[in-house]
This record gives sequence, C-alpha cells and structure tokens, in this order.
Amino acid sequence: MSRHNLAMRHLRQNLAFGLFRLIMLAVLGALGGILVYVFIHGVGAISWEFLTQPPKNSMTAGGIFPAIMGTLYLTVGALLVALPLGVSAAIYLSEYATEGRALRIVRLGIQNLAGIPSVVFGLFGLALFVGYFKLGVSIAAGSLTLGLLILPTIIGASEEALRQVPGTFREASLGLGATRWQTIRKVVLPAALPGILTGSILGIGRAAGETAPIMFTAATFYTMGLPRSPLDQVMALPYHIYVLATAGTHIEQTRPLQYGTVLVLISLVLGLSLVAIIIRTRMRKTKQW
Amino acid sequence: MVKASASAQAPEEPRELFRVHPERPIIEVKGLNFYYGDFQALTGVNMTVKRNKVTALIGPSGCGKSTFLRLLNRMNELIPGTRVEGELLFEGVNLYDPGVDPVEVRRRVGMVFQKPNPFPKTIYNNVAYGPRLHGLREARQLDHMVERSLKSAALWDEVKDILHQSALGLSGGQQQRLCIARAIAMQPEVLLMDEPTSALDPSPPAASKSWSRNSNKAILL
Ligand SMILES: Nc1ncnc2c1ncn2[C@@H]1O[C@H](COP(=O)(O)OP(=O)(O)OP(=O)(O)O)[C@@H](O)[C@H]1O
Ligand SMILES: [Mg+2]
Repeated sequence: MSRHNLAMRHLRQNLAFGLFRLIMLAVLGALGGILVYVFIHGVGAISWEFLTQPPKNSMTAGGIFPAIMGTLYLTVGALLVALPLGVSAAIYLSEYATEGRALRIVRLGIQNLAGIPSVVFGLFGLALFVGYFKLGVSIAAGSLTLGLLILPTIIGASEEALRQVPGTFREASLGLGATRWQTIRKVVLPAALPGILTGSILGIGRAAGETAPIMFTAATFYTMGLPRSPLDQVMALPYHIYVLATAGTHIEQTRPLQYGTVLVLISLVLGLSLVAIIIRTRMRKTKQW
Repeated sequence: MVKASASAQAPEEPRELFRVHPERPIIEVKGLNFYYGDFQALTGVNMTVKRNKVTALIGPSGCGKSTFLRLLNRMNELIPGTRVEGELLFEGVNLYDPGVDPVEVRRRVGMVFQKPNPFPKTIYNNVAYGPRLHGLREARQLDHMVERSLKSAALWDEVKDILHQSALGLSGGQQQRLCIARAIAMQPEVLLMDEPTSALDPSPPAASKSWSRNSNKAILL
C-alpha cells in the first residue's frame, strides 16, 4: 500500500464518519425541535385546573382531566390484555415450538400483524368487540383493540428477551431435575423480565398515542366525569387532540389547549415508560430473584 | 476419563422403578453408541460403576468424556438430532426405556457441568433451588440443607456471610464449588462431575448419605 493510498482511505473514513455524525445530529435535532416546539406552545396552557377539571364552554376552556384518566385506563388495559397473551405466545415460540416451516409462518404472521395500519385494528375492534361481543363503545373494547395492536411488539420483544437467556441456565435447571415448566418459571422468565419490560415500554407509547383504534371502540369527545365501569366510554388524549384540531368550531381559539394536551400526552408516555425503566433497572441491579 | 461414583444405600422411600440391589453395580453400560446427527461420538462403550465408590474417567480432550457423562442423566437428548444405541442401566433399569421420565432420572443422577453455570440468583437461592423443586419450603430445613451442602463442597467458610449476595460475584472456582453444592443439595444417588477444578476435592461428607463423583480433571493433568 502506498502512502498516498493510506491517506485516501483515512480521508474516506473521516468523510463517512462525518456524514454519520451529521445524520445523527439531524435526527436528534428533529426530535429535540418537536419537543421544544410543543413545550413552548403548550406550557402556557398547563395549570392545575387544566390537569384536574373537565372541559368547559364547548371545550374552549377548562381542563382535560377525563381524557388523562381515559388514556391511563386504556393504556393499562391494553397492557393487561397484551402482556399475558404476548408473553405466553413468546414462551411457546421460543421454549416449546420446534423450529420448522410452521413456526416460520407463525412468525411471519406476527411480524405482518405489526405492519397493519392502526385504523384497520380500529375497524376490526369495532366489528368484533363493539359489535359481536356487544361490549359497546367502551374502555373494555378499546383496551382489547389496543392490546391486539401492541401484541406483536410485546411478542417480538419477549421472544428476543427469552432467546437472550443463556442455554446454560436452562441446562443447569433441567440437570437438577426441574421440569421444563419449572425451568421457565423460575429461571428463564425472571432472567428475561428486563427485556420483556422493554417491549412493554414500546407498547405503552404506542397504546397511549394511537387515535384510530380507539376512535370507533372507546373514545367519546366529551364526558363530564370519569367512567364508572369498563363498559363506559371515555375521553382520551389523542382523540381529544384530534377533535380539537379538526372538528370543533373554534379550532384556532383552542390551539394553546391542543398543544397543552399534546404536552400532557408526551409527559404521560414518558412517565409511564420511566416507571417501567425504573423497575427494570432495579431488577438488573439486584438480580436477587 | 472419569472418576466415578458411588453411592447409595437405599433411598429413603423405595420407588418402584429404580429398586436398589446392593450387590449389583449402580450403573452398567453395555455396547453404547452415541451420535450427534451423523457424527458418532461414542462407539461401543462398556463399563460398570460401583456403589459407594469414586470412579474416574480419563482421556484426551474431545474423546467424549462430557458426552458420556451427559448421557447418564439424559442431558444429551436436549440437543436436537442426537441418537443413543445400546444399554445404559441404572439400578438395573435402562435409562432410555420409553417409560423412564428424564426428570426423575436427573433428580437421582446429579450433574456438575464442565463450565460453572450458577443461576443469576443469590448463593442461598442457588443451593436451595433443588430442594425447593422437591417441595421443601420450611425455612429452617432449607437453611440446614444449604449449610450442609455448602460445607460438603468446601465453600461454606468463604460464603457464610454473603449467602444473600449474587452468585455471579464469586470467583470461577467458587462458582464451580457452588454448582457442586447445588447438585449435592438434591441428594442424588449418583453425582457426575465433569472436570471439577483440581483444587477442590470435597471429601464425601459424613452427613450426605450417598453420592458418587465423576471427574476427570486430575488425570488430564
Ligand atoms: N453438541 C455437539 N454437537 C456435535 N458434536 C459435538 C457436540 N458436543 C460435542 N461434540 C463432539 O463430540 C466429541 C466429544 O466431545 P466431548 O465434549 O464429550 O469431549 P470431552 O472428552 O469432554 O473433551 P474435553 O476434555 O475437552 O472436555 C468431540 O469430537 C466434539 O466435537
Ligand atoms: Mg468435556
């Protein structure tokens, strides 16, 4: 290699790294830009009243308390649906099923489920849960629909987490005369839990933020108080934003409220994710299960 | 290759399948062949293992010591594509008969693997894992079992003050002894040990009634 050649290669490397750095900055910049923009426009609307009162004067004033609670209910409901189902499916896929064509097809199906537009889930939920199971437009129907929506995410993350558990743990447990199920419950699942929680975090963000799936199955644009049962309709943050921004007669007038609601939604997602992250960190640190 | 094993007087409750005949060797191997897919790893192995003795297996690296030991508690069948031919009798019963439950076999034939593989749990919970599988819940009995097993594995003095810290913080040799203690806590009738580190040589403890050792390290040196 000539000296010249070496210099050329260094130059090329520096160019490539410089480009990557630039792209990364652009991505970070876009994310930061959105957050800052939302914060600047929304922070003015945030007040104690905004967070704790229902809307007033055909939604041009007052707060968004019912929508905050509705989104909380729906998100937690979706996790209650998707976590048991998704983790069970992942356990089956990674611990019991034998590799082969059938399994590949199932995996492909799950991956495709993740690519289906959310409005399709909404219509499916409307037909199945609202209509066929007669749940009506309700928290229950919305949670089930959102649960299905995030199911592929949870299955994917859980399966990956289970796969990361070293085979030697399973071997050690089986070698001590544990059954497969005992091994999964006492060794494999605890070791995979942090990874499963990561999947839940992604699921939380999705479930809390989606509008289309709850539009036909759970959300209503105005309630005075809070839902009294899982069969009640609820207000929800993303749907509230959608309504204020498109359907009202005071779209311009409620702009600050819209940004305020967006800010609350983002904070709520971050807050829920933070809880999951804290649990995960604790688990990793102690490792004392 | 091995050192092996010895073992037991009658197990506390006589179980129908593996009945103890003290005059008979605890393990008899006849014409054993073993295949990883198309690769034949063991050819025509015959041997007997006496009760209450330590038997050692020796042989060059890659000759099939680990493979053989793992056959004795049916660990190899967890690897897809493996195949066994011949007879492997434990207390006179062929371990590979269709009616034999591998879980039952592994409870009676304990194993310490070549590489230390403690669970990412506390030291205490590692040793208590087996007894708990057996349904032992009572704290005092568990404490007693953990202490006795750790003493048998010559690890007690080093860890008695850190029982509730993660086993992953132990040194490699300590981890290996922990795995021995974990296996002993099951009170197996045969204990297979795949190259336990030389320095540790827990003498068969008076307390633990019957166990046998298989090891090959000494000879490999
Ligand atoms: N999972 C496996 N799949 C295919 N071949 C294997 C597998 N495990 C071991 N073998 C092969 O079987 C033979 C015996 O391996 P084994 O691990 O029993 O040797 P060993 O006597 O324990 O060696 P060492 O002293 O190095 O531990 C080797 O040739 C090895 O390559
Ligand atoms: Mg070996």
